[in-house]
Amino acid sequence: MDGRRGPTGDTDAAAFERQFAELASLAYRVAYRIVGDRDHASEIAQETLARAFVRWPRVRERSTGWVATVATNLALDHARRRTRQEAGRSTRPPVPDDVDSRALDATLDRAELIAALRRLPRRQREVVVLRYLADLSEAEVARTLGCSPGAVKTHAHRGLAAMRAALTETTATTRPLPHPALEDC
Amino acid sequence: MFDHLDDPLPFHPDHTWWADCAARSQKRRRARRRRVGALGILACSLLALLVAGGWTRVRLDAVDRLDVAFPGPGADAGGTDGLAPTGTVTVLAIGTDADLGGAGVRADAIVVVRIDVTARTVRTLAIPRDTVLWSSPPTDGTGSVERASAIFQAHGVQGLVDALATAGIRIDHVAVVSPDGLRRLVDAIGGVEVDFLRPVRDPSTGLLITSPGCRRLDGTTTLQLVRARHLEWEDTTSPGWIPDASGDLGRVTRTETVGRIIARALVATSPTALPALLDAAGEGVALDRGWSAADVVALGAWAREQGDALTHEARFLIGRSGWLDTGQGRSSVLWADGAAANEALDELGRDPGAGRLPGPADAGSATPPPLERLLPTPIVIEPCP
Repeated sequence: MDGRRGPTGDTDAAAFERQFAELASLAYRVAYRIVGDRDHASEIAQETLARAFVRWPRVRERSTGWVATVATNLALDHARRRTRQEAGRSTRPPVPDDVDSRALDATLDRAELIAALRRLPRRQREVVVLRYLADLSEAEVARTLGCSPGAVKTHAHRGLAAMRAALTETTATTRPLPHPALEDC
Repeated sequence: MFDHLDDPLPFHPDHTWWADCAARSQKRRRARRRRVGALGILACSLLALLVAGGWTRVRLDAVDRLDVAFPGPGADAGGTDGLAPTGTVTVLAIGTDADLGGAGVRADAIVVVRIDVTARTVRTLAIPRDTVLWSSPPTDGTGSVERASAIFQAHGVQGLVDALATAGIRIDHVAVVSPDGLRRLVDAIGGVEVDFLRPVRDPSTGLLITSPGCRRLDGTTTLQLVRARHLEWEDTTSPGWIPDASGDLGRVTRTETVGRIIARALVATSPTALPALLDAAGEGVALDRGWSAADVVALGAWAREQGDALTHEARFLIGRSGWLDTGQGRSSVLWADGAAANEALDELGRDPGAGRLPGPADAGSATPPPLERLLPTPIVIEPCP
């Protein structure tokens, strides 16, 4: 192993390994929160990291946000395909009687989360995903998206409000909410 | 906020996960049909480091590929089984004396490497180039024989793979490296550390190591070392340079040692060295077309994961000197049909009775001295501690 050390004191190799291990965990966590399935979340994380590798020169400066966003998009795509497949079946598979109630709650939460995320305007969705699915700080989200922290706070507030409204609506609409006009983001 | 949706089990991607990730990356890059510039190579190289910390297949697209037909049921050998290396894989490694693809290229070093994933062992068997092998199988009790070097010169890699199959050694994959490829490879990884047990020199290659001890060799010096066929060494008990009587056999063992050192360095190479390393690989290394990138990555990842748990056993094929009438005069050869050679082949996974190496009787040659002769091969180099 090369002995050269970076600013953090790690060797180049160690720093790189650590960074990508963290990115893999992030992609997996985000994907799992959406799809709720280990195999599919793992696959989505792999695909996300593979894309990051290919585009690394452009991604490296904002890798955390990039990975979280791509993992989210892939997970939502996966959820959409799964929904279509289930809709295409003549009958939906029955829910077993002995299913864990917490698992059922989580499944329902996921379905609501996916529906609500889809209805958000792009910027609000990005902020919500980075802030609450990827658990980044407001400052990190701002740096990732090139916004001011204030704009992030505004988008996060509006995004959450829109999601709550969507979750309480009895009839869902797929029409996206109007994009807020913010000058600095 | 969404903690309740988290996976209750921890996520620990293993090397197979990363190998799969690397395969996806490679596929995606090809699909984009983009030329990868220096930055792109760096990014992909970093991936490789991540995957295994080991050597990568990122530039394997650029590496020369050889069309080799492997005899026997080898489809599952060295496979990845979900990208984890499984079972055993036997690789034929060949060092040539000139650039690949040129006319009349000869094999300077022939080494069979058997990696047993389950037993965590790597066995290498260096085959002196003058060893007599079957050039055509002995059907109905008769077959034709030829020196290993001549078989390679006439029939290339395929000839050696077939000859070893006749001897009972089934090869799964092939790696060929030219002198220039070796030099570039060593320079790309920042040199190799070799422990010289005594001063050595070879005026024919320009090698001159005046004092014992561990030192880092650049590509050029490494090449001088592995190609030294007229090595001389100094002993503390007697003045002057002493010729190494083992000749080519000593060179084979030294090449095997250097190869092992390089392999270790490759497994642990730095990402910053990888672009140059991969460039070197692209110009001086060839692999068989069937050796998938995912398999190479998985194998490198596995090797790195094992670390010190991996045991290595090196041997060279022991034989007795003799002569072979090649039709164009007599050649000095090595007959390896004795017990020691057979034992070495068995250790390489030869099935009992699956094949044998030819003896003088198979060629109608005069019987060489009856005893197997262990040529004196003073150990002059070792890996640095």
